[in-house]
Amino acid sequence: MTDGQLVREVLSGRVGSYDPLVRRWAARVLAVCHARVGRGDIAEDLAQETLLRGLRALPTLNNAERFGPWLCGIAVRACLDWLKAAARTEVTMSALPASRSAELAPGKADAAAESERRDEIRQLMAEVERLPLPHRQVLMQFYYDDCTYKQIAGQLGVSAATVNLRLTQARQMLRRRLTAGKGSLVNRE
Amino acid sequence: MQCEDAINLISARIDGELSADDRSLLEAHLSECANCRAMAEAMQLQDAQLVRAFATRRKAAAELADRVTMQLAPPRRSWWVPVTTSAAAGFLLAVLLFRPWEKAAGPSIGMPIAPASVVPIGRLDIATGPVEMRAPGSRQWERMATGAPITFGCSVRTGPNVRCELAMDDGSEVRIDEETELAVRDRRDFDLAGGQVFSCVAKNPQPFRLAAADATVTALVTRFDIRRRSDQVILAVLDGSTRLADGRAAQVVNAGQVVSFADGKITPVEGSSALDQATRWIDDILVLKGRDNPELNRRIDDLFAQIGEGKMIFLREGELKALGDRCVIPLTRYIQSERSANDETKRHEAARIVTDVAQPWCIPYLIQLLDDGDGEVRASAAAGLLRLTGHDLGRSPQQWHDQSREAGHATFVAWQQWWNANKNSYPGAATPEVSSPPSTNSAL
Repeated sequence: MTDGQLVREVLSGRVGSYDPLVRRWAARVLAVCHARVGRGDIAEDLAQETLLRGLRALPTLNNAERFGPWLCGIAVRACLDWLKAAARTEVTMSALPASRSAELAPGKADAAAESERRDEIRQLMAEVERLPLPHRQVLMQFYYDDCTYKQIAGQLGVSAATVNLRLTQARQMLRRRLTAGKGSLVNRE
Repeated sequence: MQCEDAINLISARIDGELSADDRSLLEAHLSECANCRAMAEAMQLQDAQLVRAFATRRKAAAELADRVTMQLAPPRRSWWVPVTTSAAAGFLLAVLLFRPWEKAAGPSIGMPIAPASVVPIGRLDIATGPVEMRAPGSRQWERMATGAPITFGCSVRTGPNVRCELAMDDGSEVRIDEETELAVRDRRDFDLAGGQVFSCVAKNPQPFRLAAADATVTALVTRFDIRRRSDQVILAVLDGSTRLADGRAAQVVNAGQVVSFADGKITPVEGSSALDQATRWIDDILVLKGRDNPELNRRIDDLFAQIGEGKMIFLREGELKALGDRCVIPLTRYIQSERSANDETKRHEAARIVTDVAQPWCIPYLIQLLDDGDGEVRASAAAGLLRLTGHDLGRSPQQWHDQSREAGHATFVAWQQWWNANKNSYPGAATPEVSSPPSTNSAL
């Protein structure tokens, strides 16, 4: 069923039809939030809020087929509100603890290699979170969900070629930063 | 072709977005440019790393969807559902109209709105079904939505098969088992009228106090479980230490100890699995909290540590079977979650393991699986039920497999009713305390 069909079902009283919409869009909404606030744990709270707000605000959606981009718009607004509140309390992003999302549960008998691999992943995610917003957005949309360039382009309002360009640039930035040496990573900011 | 253009095409190739024309152009360039070949290889490796790094994020997204749909879901499918279907629909409508989640928002998203006379000191954080609250001075029990505030002097109660967690604003978490009634005197002061409660006590100069019958447990930072039965109180301490007192005597109970308290006497409960058994019920709540929940991670780690190494995601059949019935809850959740939707092999494997290791306490979980959309899962569950109960209620595993989910619905409901009528014959079942249900049932 298309998003539009599901939306119409929800509006006609079949609230259960919102479930597939949640499942379809959760990853992309989470990607939007993660890209905006740069922290996985906060992003999860904001995405949850967005998905719930989406149901409540559904009667205000003009074009049922545009449910996804509309929902992502709600997510962006929720993130901007959060960022504003965070700025008010004068907690700078760099002062916040590293993303919880990048941390993996410590196992009891992890081999050194496993722990090194986790460090690498954690470092990579930290660098992803530091990419410029346009690059972070594209990269997160791509890796959070199996989105095509066209889907990402439609959502961000850019061309597929721009999506390709930003992804390429993001990958090069990540490569440069990660090969720049561990010392510089640790000391930055 | 310039190397600069080639890089974009390499990226597109990795992403499966390269047109046939561009592909031959790129290949021609790569055949003569060693630099770009090296770049292509490096980017491929980096892509694999990114996929690995995002695997946990994708899981988090699936679990987020689970949490949201759970919050919006009508009460969990159960034997009392048929009689309350219309009530559940009404409840959902009320949820939609009154937007209880607005109150659920944390301070980072929006402050809770509360009438001036009622000061919230916590909120209902997670619930597996309908939870009821009685306001101070009121005789009326009212259903509370997830996120609803907990106020001074209120009481909270759960019916059969419903567990929940209260997040208090001092950072403590109070988990309430099914068929439990708990009075909230203050943010760190509770009275257990009946049932079972698990508390994760946050650090605070003010002691945390929980009274049950004649016994009072006080603690500063700790995790403990307390169960009130008709004739005794059982206390299990996971971390830190607690003080158990009855006005006449007092004793310190430390991490790892389980004691029972009756007639002013404290008796240690022996057995290496006593602690585990006393707290198994909280798995139901922990699995709802998602993978970014350190407590669940620790618990799963502990589980796996007992049999050596490994994580559930690898689904190694042998390892999981060695876990015995403890993996039933996480595996059942796995089968029911979106995570397994596209992996039939793993889903079937998980169902087979559940069937093989299930113990009588798992019967309600197997019954849930009879309503699964996958015939193989339904058949596995039916085989497990046949093994544990000796019954098939007139529908064989083969029939569960071959016929549609809808065709089995009546038998599914019959199984729920069967369990309701027979659960007392299965001591230690997922409904751990059937001996002293508090008065909470009547209203549900």
